[in-house]
Amino acid sequence: MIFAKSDAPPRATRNRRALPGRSVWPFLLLGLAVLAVLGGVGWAMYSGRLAGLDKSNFLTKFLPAKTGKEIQNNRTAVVVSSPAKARAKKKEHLAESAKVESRVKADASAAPTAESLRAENAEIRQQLLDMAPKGFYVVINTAGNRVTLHNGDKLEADMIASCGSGNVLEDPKGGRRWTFDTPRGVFSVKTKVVDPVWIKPDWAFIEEGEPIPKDRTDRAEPGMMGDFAIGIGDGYYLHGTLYKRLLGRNVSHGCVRLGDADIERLYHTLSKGDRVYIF
Amino acid sequence: MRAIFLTLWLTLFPLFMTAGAIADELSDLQAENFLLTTELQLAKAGKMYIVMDLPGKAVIFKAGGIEIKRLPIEHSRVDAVDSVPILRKLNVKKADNQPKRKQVVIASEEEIRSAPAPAPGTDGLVALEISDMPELYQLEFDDGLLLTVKAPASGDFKTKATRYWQDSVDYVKNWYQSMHRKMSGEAGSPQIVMNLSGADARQLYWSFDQDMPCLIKN
Repeated sequence: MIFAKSDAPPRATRNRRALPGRSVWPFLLLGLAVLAVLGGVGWAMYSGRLAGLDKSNFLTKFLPAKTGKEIQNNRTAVVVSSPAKARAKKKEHLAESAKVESRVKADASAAPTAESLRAENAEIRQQLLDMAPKGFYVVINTAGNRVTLHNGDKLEADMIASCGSGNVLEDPKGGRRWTFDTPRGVFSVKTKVVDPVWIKPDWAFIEEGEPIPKDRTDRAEPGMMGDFAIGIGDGYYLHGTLYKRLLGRNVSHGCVRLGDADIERLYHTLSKGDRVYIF
Repeated sequence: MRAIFLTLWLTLFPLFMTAGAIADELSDLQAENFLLTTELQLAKAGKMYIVMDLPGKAVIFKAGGIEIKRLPIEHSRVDAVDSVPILRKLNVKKADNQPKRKQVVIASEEEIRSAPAPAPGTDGLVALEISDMPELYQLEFDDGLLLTVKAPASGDFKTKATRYWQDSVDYVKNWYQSMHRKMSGEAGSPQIVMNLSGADARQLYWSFDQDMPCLIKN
């Protein structure tokens, strides 16, 4: 009995011993086949994305916007009430898809690779860097009333200024309206003047409640713009001021007022054509 | 069998991860390419423009290949916005306390002379200044994108309490909307919430003009 008992091994041990008898090759082959199929699908998805076939990215992003939207609209509009309508819609949708597919295939041949995109991006970045001014330029912050002078990458000076008040003046007689803002955008030095004479515009007389003179000489007011003025176009200037205690506040009628030393420095540093950025 | 599944998993997982990473990299490069090409066109046209770089956490004013001003973003949340940057145009700025331009009062010399002195602590200056700009507002773009700009609540207790209440309501509303969208499968309207410091939020409101093109990178 004892011998017989020891001769019959427990079930678990028996199974373990039986395993090497079964071949694992079919499983391995099946696994490899699955691997190959999934790998193939993965590669197709990946290369499809490369060629711009991925629906989420390419159709909505890199085709002209209208086409992307049309496709999306068609896709979402497939759910309709009657079967006839649904068939018609499906047909229409398939025709549209076929059109898009042919376009995508045509574009796929010219699809960019990561390498070509990287090179192109680096080139554009370089072009942008090359566009940056190499010499002097000025940046004006109208909110902070600051003017900074730059020479290439180097900050040369930070100055306090007075920019536009943003106020509105209405002519009680003529119905004209002025907004005293400093214009924003990219400008350049157009003129440089020593001892500028302010030719008062109509609004200056209206603001002071005075009659508008007929003679131009009656408009001239020397000394109001300080010793130097730098014109940036459309009648706007960077100039000196009599109201130095108001530097740092928005009080001007659109011009940029600066202290005497600062406007003199800008006058002697900037040349015609130098950039002036106002924000 | 377990060994086979494990082998399959170990083989396929890196394969798909690598393919996915390469595809994502390509997608990022294409988006960057679009951004740079557009920037180059704007720079050549001599325009000032804004780049809202959400991953880089900065709002940048740019022109002619240089950075004019950089406003750091403290935090941002993007909802249903396409990842490819498109050139957007600002339609309208919305705020509860919209700054108002002051009208110049035309007064005679006699009226000016007889006018009362400015109140203590004020200089009597009439102007639209940066301090008049709001710290909580919305920017609506031409493609329907709604960008909410928020600065940390400041001011007296009542203002702070109102703001916290408003933020809580917004949070619950957004959560409900996103849940609803997920359940119904709707695309939802694109929106971004961006937190800036008080000064930067006011600066953005001040400087962002309607004719200033904007590129949003997310």
